[in-house]
Amino acid sequence: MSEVQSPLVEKKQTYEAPLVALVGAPNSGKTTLYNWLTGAHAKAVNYPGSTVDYMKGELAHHWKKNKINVLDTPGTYSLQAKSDDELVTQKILSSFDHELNPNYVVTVLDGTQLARHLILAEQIKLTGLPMLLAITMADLLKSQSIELDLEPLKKHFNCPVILIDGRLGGGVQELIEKFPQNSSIKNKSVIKNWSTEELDQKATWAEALAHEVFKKSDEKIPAIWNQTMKWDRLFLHPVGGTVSFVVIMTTLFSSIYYLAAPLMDQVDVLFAFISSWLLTLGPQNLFLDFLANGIVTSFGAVLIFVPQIFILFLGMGFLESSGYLSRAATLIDKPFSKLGLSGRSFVPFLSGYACAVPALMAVRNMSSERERWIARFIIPLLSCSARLPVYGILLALLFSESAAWIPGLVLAGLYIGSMLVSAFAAGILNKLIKQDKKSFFLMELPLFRRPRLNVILIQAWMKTKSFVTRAGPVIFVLTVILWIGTTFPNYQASDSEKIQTSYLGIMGQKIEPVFEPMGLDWRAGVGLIAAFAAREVFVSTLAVVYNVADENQEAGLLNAMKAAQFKDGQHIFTVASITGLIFFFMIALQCLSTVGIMIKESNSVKLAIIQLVLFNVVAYLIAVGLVQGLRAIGIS
Amino acid sequence: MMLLNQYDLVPGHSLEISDFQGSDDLLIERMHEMGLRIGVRLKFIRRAPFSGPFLFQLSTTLLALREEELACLKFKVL
Repeated sequence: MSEVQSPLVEKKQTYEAPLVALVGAPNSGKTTLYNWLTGAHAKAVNYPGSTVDYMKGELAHHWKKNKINVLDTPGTYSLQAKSDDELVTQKILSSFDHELNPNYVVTVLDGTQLARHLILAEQIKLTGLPMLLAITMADLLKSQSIELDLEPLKKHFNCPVILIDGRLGGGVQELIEKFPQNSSIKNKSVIKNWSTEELDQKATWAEALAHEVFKKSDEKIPAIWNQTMKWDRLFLHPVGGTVSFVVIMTTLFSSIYYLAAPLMDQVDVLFAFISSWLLTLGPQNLFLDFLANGIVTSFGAVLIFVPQIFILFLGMGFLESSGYLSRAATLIDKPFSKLGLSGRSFVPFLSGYACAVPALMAVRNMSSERERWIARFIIPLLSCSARLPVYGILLALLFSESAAWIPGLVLAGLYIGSMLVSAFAAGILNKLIKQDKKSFFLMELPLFRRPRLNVILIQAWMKTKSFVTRAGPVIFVLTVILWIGTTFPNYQASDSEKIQTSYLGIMGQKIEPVFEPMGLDWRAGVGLIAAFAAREVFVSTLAVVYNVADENQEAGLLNAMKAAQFKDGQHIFTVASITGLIFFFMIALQCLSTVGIMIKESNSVKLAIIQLVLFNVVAYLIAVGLVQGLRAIGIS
Repeated sequence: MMLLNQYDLVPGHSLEISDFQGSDDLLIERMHEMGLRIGVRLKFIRRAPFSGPFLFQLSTTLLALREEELACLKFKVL
């Protein structure tokens, strides 16, 4: 047996409010208990240097107790960490940092899995931290008339043992009464590492103890699983499972798209209204323009993602707490394993088709660092909804004379193409990045349970708040920089003249030779640069630089693009140049919000910049290759 | 009856873990932490679609193991 010991053996907590950590295996009912304790007073936090999330909050006011902080640590089967999130729990229990090291541990044990979870409880007991045992799923045990004798547990662990009914909150008040009232507790954090032989001995001991606790009625426990087993016959069936997976995922992701779209429109309309209202407050001047088009637009650029993020995490929370997410991960694991990923990573990928920003946030829930790297790298290649208006205008231009189903079919091809491109990129990364020995799929499929709405609502809200506070400032700054680039130095001119003579416009004209091999002039080049604010900005920028004053802007823009010519009279938007542009947009990383969230989520400016440069250079080379290749075979 | 490998598994088989094999010590340790040890009885439920993970009932829980993870276990059929 070896030990991992805190650098400070004896330490005195000086913080006013005691810190209580909830520790338990995944799906042990820890998060439900956490929500009973804290209500809505919680925030998602990270262990320093880690992007693994855990929740920290204060005991809810209605419990009428002095201030007590509560931590919901990432689920773990053991204190011998085997993944990044388990490492966070291990570090919290052996931390030197007085802000993170708890005064008290609530060890959460699933009553239906008592024998297996007692091993973790024993390991926590040996840390020397003051603790109690909270046995969850009391409602399920009661439903099978299973009675528990808690005395053997109290005797062995020498601590309080409390039954928790996660559905009605039974036992929570009693639990809180046991919490320490002050933080001046001297403790000694030691983590015992057991060999497999020692683990086996502990397992035999735990089985005997659990048998004693259940007063020999443990043979009734399997009945709790009857309903879950029936559902699993459908959800894990080769045909039924695949069909239900497709139906559930289509519902989730179309909800993200369709439920969020009107809300996003409302956010857009609101900020457009504030922006135009500000411009009416006085004669046009730089300050008002900065307020309206710099500050307000930047806030809008951040908040427009809120509906999508909230709905995505609400849906994911529902699937996770119902027990379905583990089934879905099992179902999709094999195809994903070919790309070096596990079935657990499919949610970020699918959500990447709505928007890369929430998808990159969802990557946090993946337990392997290697998989997180692969996922973060390829998610921007998936065809997000912001590409749709761009594809719309380019396909309308390319197929203006064709039947409507043809551009529709090509659009579907573009979505499938983006899937193939990202699978190809994942395959390359899978070969390049060293295998992570600590990555397992081995997992427990939890009971199917009805999710508690208030728990998933609070969690979705916490994640959304976390997006606004983490990525918001970066997106805000980048958007203001883009405003400066498109406004100065000739800020008093008309919109069209202003952008043409702006730093960005000047840059576009200077680097026109770069765009020429793509078959484009400097104006389209300015559109491509401006699209870094968001891809859909490409369309509105083209409308400005090609001087579209039509009420029906899209029709006006189409005509203006059809008519647009180089100085020598040749058309700019031809089959070759439009095809090149479509492929450019398919691969290029033109979204500062994505770059912003990538910096925050990966904790690496370097990775974000490498990705930004690599994707755009590859996109450019492919576009140039296509345009020149098509021209070479006579397709202009 | 000893099983030579996982391909001999048939849904409904009741099995007993007879040994661990392979060099992935971390995985074997995780298996012990999750309750898989010599002498433990499991029931093979089925394989997930697309030749995916193998699903076993272990006492009152359901475990999913990838093919390469399952290769660390030796079974005998009961």
